[in-house]
Amino acid sequence: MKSRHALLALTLACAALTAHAGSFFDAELKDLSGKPQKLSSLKGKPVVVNYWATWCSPCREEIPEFVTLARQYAGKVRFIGIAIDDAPAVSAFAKQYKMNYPTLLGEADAMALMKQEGNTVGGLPYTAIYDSQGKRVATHTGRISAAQLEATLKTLR
Amino acid sequence: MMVRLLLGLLAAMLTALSHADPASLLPPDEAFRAQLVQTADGGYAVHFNVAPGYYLYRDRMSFSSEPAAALKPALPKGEFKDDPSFGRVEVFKHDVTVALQGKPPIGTAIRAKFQGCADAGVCYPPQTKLLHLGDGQDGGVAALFGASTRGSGGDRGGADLSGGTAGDDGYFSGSKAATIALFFLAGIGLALTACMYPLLPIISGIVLGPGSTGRGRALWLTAIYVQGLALTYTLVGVAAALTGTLLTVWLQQPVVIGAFALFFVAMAVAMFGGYQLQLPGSWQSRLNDVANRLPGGHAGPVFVMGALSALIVGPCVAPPLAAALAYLGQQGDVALGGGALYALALGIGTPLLIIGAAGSAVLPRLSGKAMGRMKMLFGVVLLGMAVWIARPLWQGWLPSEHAVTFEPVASVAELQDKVAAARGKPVIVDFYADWCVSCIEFERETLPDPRVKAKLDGFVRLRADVTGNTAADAELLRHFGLYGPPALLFYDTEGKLVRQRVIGFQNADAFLATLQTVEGSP
Repeated sequence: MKSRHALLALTLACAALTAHAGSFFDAELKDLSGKPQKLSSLKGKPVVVNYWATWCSPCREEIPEFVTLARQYAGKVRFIGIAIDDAPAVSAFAKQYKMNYPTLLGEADAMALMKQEGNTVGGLPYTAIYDSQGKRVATHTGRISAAQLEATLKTLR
Repeated sequence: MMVRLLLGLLAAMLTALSHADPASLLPPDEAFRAQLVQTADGGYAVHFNVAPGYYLYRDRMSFSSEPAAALKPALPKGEFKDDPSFGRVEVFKHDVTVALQGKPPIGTAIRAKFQGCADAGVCYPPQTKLLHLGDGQDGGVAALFGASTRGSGGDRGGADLSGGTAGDDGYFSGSKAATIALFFLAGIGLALTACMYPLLPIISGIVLGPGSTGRGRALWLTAIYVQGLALTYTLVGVAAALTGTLLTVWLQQPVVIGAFALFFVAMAVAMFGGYQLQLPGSWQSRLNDVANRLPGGHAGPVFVMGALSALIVGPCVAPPLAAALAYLGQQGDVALGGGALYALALGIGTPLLIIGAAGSAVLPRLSGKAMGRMKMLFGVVLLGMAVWIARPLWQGWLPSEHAVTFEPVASVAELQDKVAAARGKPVIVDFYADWCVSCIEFERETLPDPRVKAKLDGFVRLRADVTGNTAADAELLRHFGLYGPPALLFYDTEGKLVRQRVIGFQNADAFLATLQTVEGSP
């Protein structure tokens, strides 16, 4: 019991430290082909980060709207998906839904990143929006509507 | 405590840092609590506690056992949900229990995988939980948010803030509170038995008798009386938890049982008008003198009376009390022991408090003749109680065919020798005593069953008769962590003690099921 709490405290302390030190753009995740990608390459423009999975029904529901918005805001806002899932399922899904923005993959690392970025509970979908300076300006747990997302994006311009 | 405080602070900091979503979503561990339970027939079942507003997908549940055993999950039917992405899916929106058909070897752990969502439109990653019997929840680290199926290695860094700890504490305090509540209810139940009759004259004498004025005072005195009663029980509970001694064995000693039975006979004789049940006049006046001099009025003596009354009710509270004490002794939790027995006493005292609150008005006004009949009836009931309490003393005399023979063992060494000699055959060890009610019940009702007889033929049958409660008997009981009979222990064919044991009475069907699982275990 005691040691469990201590362990928990330690984990929490680590999390707190990384939350301070690391930022979203310092992280690195694998792409669909398994190559590690630095998130720092996303910096410089507003970014919409959508955490999702193929087994998550509300995630599948909202992705067509992301596709539409990504086309609409092409060149002004970057969209990126982070799937807590495995590559074959995500590849098939991306093809089927004609996803026009990149998706990175992760397991525990992606979950940790999502948690660090404000999703303490761990539910999906989760969307985080960063401005061009890399500052997180909004987050949303659960299905986000196109109107909600656009309202936030407009403030960034 | 410090750690917990620190945790709370950290949690608050993290929440502030991360602009947590205002939606009050539960962490997956709280939305879906998985628990491994044992079914009546000795099998396993996984119980999922599904919080309102959350659901689990039926077809995304899977179970495996560690070490591997042939267990087949029997998934109950779910409710159908029209999912915009997946179509018609079967989900569990409420608590669900999945029976795992088969015989799990002792100590088998179950790995449960499941996935679910919140109606609010948020889904949780697949969860994997390693479940052990008796665990309220999964271990702290695994219960951390990162416990997804995929989350094998890497940094789980993320922290499930309130989830792991708060849920944990909730579980433990919940079960403790439940125990105490149960004891309270048991107390009320006991109060409604004939056991309380001896207390009524005392209550009416002390509380409603001369010198008491007004209803409020009567209630106040009853409350004090009940507190006195509770004190005795609390002390007994603490003693049981602290010592884990053979207190229950002592309560079942023939001498003690005989004294209890005689006491009831005496009470019955009083009811039949054999003598007046009253304190001697000189005592009463002295009591009054003291009471008048004390600032608290009658409070002191009433408290003492309450404490002593616990001993009076003791006799027929003894059997359930013995069971309760055995349980508390095993727990070894002093606070729980004291608290539970305190709650029991409060339960016993509740009807008395009601009488005290309502005053004499609540007691029916009977004519002298009717009162006499009532007393007769009480007397008969009390005599019946005496006979019932003395059951262990006379039951042994009744003719009983010895359906199954047992080889006596008198010491730990002898038992170990015989177990060693039994190699290849499973062993059953029966802890027996002449005064043990359920032992005799077991012998009379369960053992003569032909199916039980046939099954036990394959066992080496040993019996530790601890009627005498000798030092060797005590040593035998202590060796197995027992507090007294009844108890049945088993050794497997390799001479290893099986973890499953039978404490208390089992009918033939239940006992057969037990034997089945004992045989099935490695």
